[in-house]
Amino acid sequence: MGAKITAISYYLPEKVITNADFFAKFPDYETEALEKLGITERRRVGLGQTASDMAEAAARKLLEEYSIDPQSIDFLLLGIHEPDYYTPPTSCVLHGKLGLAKKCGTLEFNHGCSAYVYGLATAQGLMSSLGVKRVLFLSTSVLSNTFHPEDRSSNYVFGDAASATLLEYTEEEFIGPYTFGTDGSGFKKIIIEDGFARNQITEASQKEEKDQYGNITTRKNFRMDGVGVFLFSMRTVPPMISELLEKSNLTVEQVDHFVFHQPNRFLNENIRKKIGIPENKFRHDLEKTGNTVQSTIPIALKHMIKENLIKPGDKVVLAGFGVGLTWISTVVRF
Amino acid sequence: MLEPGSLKPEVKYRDIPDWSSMYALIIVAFCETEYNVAVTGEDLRKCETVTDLHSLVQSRVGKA
Repeated sequence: MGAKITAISYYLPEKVITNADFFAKFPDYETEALEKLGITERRRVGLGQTASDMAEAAARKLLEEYSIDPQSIDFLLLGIHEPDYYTPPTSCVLHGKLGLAKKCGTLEFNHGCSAYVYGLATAQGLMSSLGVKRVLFLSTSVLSNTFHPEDRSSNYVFGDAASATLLEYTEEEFIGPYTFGTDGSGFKKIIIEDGFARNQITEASQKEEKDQYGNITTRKNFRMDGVGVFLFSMRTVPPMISELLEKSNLTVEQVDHFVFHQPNRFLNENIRKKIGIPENKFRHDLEKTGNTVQSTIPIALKHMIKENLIKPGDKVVLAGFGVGLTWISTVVRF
Repeated sequence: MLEPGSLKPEVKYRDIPDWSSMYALIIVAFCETEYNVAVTGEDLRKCETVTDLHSLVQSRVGKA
């Protein structure tokens, strides 16, 4: 009893911000070292375009590209951190917009950069526990809405995007095992502090703070301890992959591709070297999109499929890590 | 970019015009991969000079 990824599509909003656009606005930020991050452009949503609008667009692309009957979907899964409403769940709103069947279940979760792999695991679980056969798994992020305009680092690195993946029930298992974990003590490393239940918006929420690198943010804006998250990733991802390979009875040599979440090229290159993965097996894929949070992995996979880099039977290690702090990895057979 | 040889021990690295979060990450990555030493954002904030940073890393070598 298993699950297989059978289709992937993604959606990028129209507005492109190139590095030239960026440095025109922030000339002091430009430095040769930034090239190490591996980003030349990133997208931004249009006025009034929400995360769920992008998820809907990605879903429609998938349904059309692969001629999928919406009525054949029996579960809609959504990875999102900017819901349309406090309530009802955005997955229900999307269910209606996409014309899915009444027998179709819905569920959503907020796990940022780990969301895609957690979503695969959840889809598999739903197939084995609820007997579903076709899961439409959407991911979407407009994190840029939460950035302070003068937070150069965040505005440079992150991009808006959404993805859609179809998972189907199979007799044989194509995904797994998994290794995963959480360090809740690190929850403040990636956070928007004010504006929800714990801290209401007050005057203090608007107070601008400049970090040691000149980036400005407030309590009601996105804040990331970049160095802290870098260290967390360097120290967590390599042992997680070692554990996964041992659990899967695989060596690095036996894996065909490593497709990790794409926070920036510099971090992933350091992780790659620490694990000892050869360059030709490790996918860097954020040049034209930036860090799209939940969608980095499906976007990379889609590109690789289009470029004929993934052959049937290939074993691909996926890894997500980030907000929470959370981490998860798995082996997918295509 | 700095001229080779111009980075002296007493230089306050935050005063270097190019200093940015990118260079902080490069230093953190270097200390992590070469010496298995964790240098945090707080460490970088508290240290002032290249010597401060050197002393801090040296004090942590071998103490994973």
